[in-house]
Amino acid sequence: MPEPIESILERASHGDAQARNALFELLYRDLRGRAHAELANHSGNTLSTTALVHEAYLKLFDKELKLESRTHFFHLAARVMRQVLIDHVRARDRVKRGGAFAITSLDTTESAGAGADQFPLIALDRALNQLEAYDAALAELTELHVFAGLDFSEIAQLLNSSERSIYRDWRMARVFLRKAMAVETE
Amino acid sequence: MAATPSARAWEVLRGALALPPAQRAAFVSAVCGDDAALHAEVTDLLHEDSRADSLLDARLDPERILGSTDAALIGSEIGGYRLLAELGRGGMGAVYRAERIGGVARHHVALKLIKRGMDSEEIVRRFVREREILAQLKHPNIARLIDGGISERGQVWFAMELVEGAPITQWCDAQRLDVRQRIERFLFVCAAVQYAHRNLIVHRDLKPNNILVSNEREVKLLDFGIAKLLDERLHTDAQTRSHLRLLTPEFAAPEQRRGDAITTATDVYQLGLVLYELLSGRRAIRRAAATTAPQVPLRLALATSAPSDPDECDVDTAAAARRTNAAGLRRALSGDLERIAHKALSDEPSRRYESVGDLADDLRRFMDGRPVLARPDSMWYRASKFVSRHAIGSLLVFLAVGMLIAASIYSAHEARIAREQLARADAVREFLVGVFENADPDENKGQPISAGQLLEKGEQQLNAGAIHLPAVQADLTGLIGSLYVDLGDFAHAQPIMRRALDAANDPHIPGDIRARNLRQIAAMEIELRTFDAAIAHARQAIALASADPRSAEESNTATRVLASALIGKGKAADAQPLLREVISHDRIAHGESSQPVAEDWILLGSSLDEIKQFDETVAAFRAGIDITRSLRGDLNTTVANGYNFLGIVLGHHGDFAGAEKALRESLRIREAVQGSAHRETLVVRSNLLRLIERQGRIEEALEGRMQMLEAAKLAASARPEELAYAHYFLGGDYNALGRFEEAERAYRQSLAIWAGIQGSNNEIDSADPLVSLASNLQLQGHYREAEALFRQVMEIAASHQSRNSVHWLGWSRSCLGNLQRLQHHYEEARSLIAEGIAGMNQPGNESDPALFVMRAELAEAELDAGHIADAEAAATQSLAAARKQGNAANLRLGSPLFALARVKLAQSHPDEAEHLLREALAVRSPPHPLGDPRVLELQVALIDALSASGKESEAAQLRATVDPLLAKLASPYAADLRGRLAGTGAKHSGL
Repeated sequence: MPEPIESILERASHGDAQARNALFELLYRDLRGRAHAELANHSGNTLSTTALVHEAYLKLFDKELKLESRTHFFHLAARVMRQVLIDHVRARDRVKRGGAFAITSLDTTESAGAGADQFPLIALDRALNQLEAYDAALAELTELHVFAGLDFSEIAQLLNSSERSIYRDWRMARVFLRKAMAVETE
Repeated sequence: MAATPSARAWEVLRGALALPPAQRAAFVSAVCGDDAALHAEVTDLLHEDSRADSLLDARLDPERILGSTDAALIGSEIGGYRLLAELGRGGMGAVYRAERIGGVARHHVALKLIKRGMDSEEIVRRFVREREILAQLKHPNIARLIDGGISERGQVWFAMELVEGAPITQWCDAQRLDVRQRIERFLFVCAAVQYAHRNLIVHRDLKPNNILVSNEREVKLLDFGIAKLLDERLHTDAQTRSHLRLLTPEFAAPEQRRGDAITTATDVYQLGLVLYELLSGRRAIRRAAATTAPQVPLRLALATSAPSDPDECDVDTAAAARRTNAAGLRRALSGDLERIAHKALSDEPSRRYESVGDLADDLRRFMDGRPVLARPDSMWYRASKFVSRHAIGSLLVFLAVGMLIAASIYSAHEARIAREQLARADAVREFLVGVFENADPDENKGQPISAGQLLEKGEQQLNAGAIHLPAVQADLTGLIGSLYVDLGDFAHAQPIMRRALDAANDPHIPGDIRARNLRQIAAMEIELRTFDAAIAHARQAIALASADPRSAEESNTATRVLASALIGKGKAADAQPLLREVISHDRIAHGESSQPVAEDWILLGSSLDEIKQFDETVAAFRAGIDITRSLRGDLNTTVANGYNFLGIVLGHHGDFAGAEKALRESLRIREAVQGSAHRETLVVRSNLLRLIERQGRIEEALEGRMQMLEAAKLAASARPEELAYAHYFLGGDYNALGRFEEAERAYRQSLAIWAGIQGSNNEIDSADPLVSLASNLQLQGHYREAEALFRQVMEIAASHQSRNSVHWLGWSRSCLGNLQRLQHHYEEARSLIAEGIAGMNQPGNESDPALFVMRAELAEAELDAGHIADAEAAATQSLAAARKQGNAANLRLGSPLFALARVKLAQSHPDEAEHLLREALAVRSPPHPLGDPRVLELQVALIDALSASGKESEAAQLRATVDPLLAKLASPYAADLRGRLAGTGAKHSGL
């Protein structure tokens, strides 16, 4: 009988690298699969990262987890979501530059709107790496907010902090990221 | 430039962001000082923070990153319509402006394209049938369904009447409609939903974005019945779970989350949500966790507190959009509207309004000022009401939960204890359920059950022997007693606490419960100001708790109570080391920035010597305030408490502006958190008024005192002593304004109330109003009664042993002496006043502000007795002490100025006298009016000084004003003043 997912999460949240990798893989497959499926749908409806992450949660766990595990799950899911999006954009850019990596069916449909107003995801990713070196907690908060799409109140609950101080921290992070991204695009 | 901010700038930014925007610049300047580079860097970072750039703030949709996918759809055809432009998109799909191909030109429709395909032919058939039913729905407030079908790609589409307008919430804000006008609009929404219900159609996705107000100012509901079609389709899907995604989580009714049956009650619930947002500007259900767990709606009036979600609009903006201010909005939304919204928002469909018509009727009743049907009728409602209205309520629940948790801690070693705790937890739970069940709302005629009433039920249950375990009985006795203390109802608390004390002395009761009871008793005794008893009980509690290693926290709490009692007793110096111990315990146990530490700081602040340790005192209060604010925001009582103390200390230090700011902040919080009638709110208000009075702004204070009196009258049955104080303080303002008869009445009222409470006016509490009444009567010339009252105070002071009795003994003796002087008994006056001063001039009392007034009276007595040198010494000493108090507006400063001026006149130094008298006049008038004896005495002396220095015309001019005013006064002192004036005239004419 396979190990229950709750127990893998539990081990991962206590620093078990093998469990963490296993979960990362699992989440990566799940989130990537569904993000692409949604985007491949011709109707042009959006699905937010928030919903994707929350659905992944609902799908994996049918009961309320204890806070520590929940927190760990969302940290991980945010990180995975970041990776999914980055990988996708990288692959797309390679295709655009004539590279040989036509991985997903998505690429045939998304080209129409790939314009100048696109989100500078790669720049954000680099800025986030810098922030991680400068203040890891702020980087983690950013991932939860931007990639897992969590509200400040949700984050406050997860991190056992107040919404006010989370919001303040987010503003700090935002200042840092804007600065860093501005430097990059200059 | 470097992408990474300097560590120093980063810290300054963190500090600045914690402050309100208006204070940031000053903060940054203060912290950076001369470091211009740092200042520039921080300013730049702050600028970055405030930049209007939503790039990082908007939801990060994959689509936004990967690009839009459906631009290609524009221009394409669906079901005989051509798509012209995208109007918007939501969870369900996208909406396009479209036109009928080959139809009437410019006749546009809204075409909604739903995501996902249809699966079976059966579903398609049913969809078409239902679509026809929906198309029959014709109502001026419902956007008509024109057509619908399934596209070649298998997507569901609807063509609807195109409504160009704005969601009702936005529209009402833009039009700045007030609460009543909003309800009027909302009633149109109700009418439309009611019509649909009569046609057996439930909307099930009502939300502001589906309720538009058109450019023709008509309310239009969109998407009627569509959610149902989709829902049914999805329920046949394997993916039943994803139907949640179609709904907007914040607007889903509980039964929708649960997957239960959808009925017209679902629409009632969603209308409740719309009403809530329309009125308050906030969502009733927070987005947080809306997707994973059902949420309890926020109370309507709570929505008018400071926003907890950073992207919520603030109260002032919401209030302005409703043509009122925050306080007005809060008032409007509490009470009936609150109840109506909550009835609609009941978790259980059966507890909501039976129909939309009933909801509309109740709103109409509200508009007409008739009693509404909505009232708290569910246990959940009562419980939540209780908890949210009174912090102490959560204590009850907390206790029960705490005991249940405690009961679940189980180890073989502690099996017996755990079993006992489990039994105790069960007993407590049963008890609480009984309390709530027995609180019958019908007894209350629809009014919410108050905390006091619930407690009374609890007490009755306890007395009825509902609890059989002595330990639980003891524990609950202490708890209920302490809850009464929290409510400020000492009449109820005291007999209960006597029983709690009996239990605390019973060795069969577990030590932790005995310790807790003793600590709670001590806390009550602090409130009752019986500090010796409080100190003794707190010490016993500490001894019991220290004996039990599991009660470390209780021991710490009891130590904190002991420190408070010592502070109250005036032994703040003894409290200090205890508090430092408590702080270091709490810092380790709870962390530096924790609530207990914050409260310790505030307590430590009040234990410090505010004169010698002024800086540390202020720092301690500020630390307590800052920690609490960062943890819980500023709307809580700890912050209010800290600001109150800070205001008092700053006020004593002479920083009136700072003090007033702190007290106003404290008052604002208290009013928002506890309402303007709460005891603590009134205390802060009184402190603020006291500060205003000390600055001589009596007229301004008078109005506040009148309001305080009204508030105190409302609470008079529970807290009569506050009514006594309210009359007393009001009397003080009247007296200062020279409205002697009104002042006299107020003082007598105060005394009558004290006599009602204490059986007589022979307790120390009556000393204040007695002395004030006596002084008032003296000013009115009723010397005999004044003398009797001063003597009464002397007797009270002599028969009581307290720090205050020293003050009262000296002060009343001195007042009596001064009265003797006015009756020309100078020797008796001198010895009485001198005795008074000697009695009061003891260690600990040197800075009593009464002392310099007494020295001024002594100076006048010496002067009248002919001892000019002694008079000068006393007057000079008095004035120096008065100036040391550092309040130029202090009315009492008039006494030494006048005394010294009289000495200077007697010494033939009229110029110096004139100078002093003019200062005295500036101090006394205003607030004393023209014609007040306290002004006239100065003017009479000034006339003397003017004529003595040859300023005849000025003297004559002043005399022309003074003469008629003086003639009106009947007191013997006025006669003396007339005599002095005549003497001036005699000197002046050279006789």
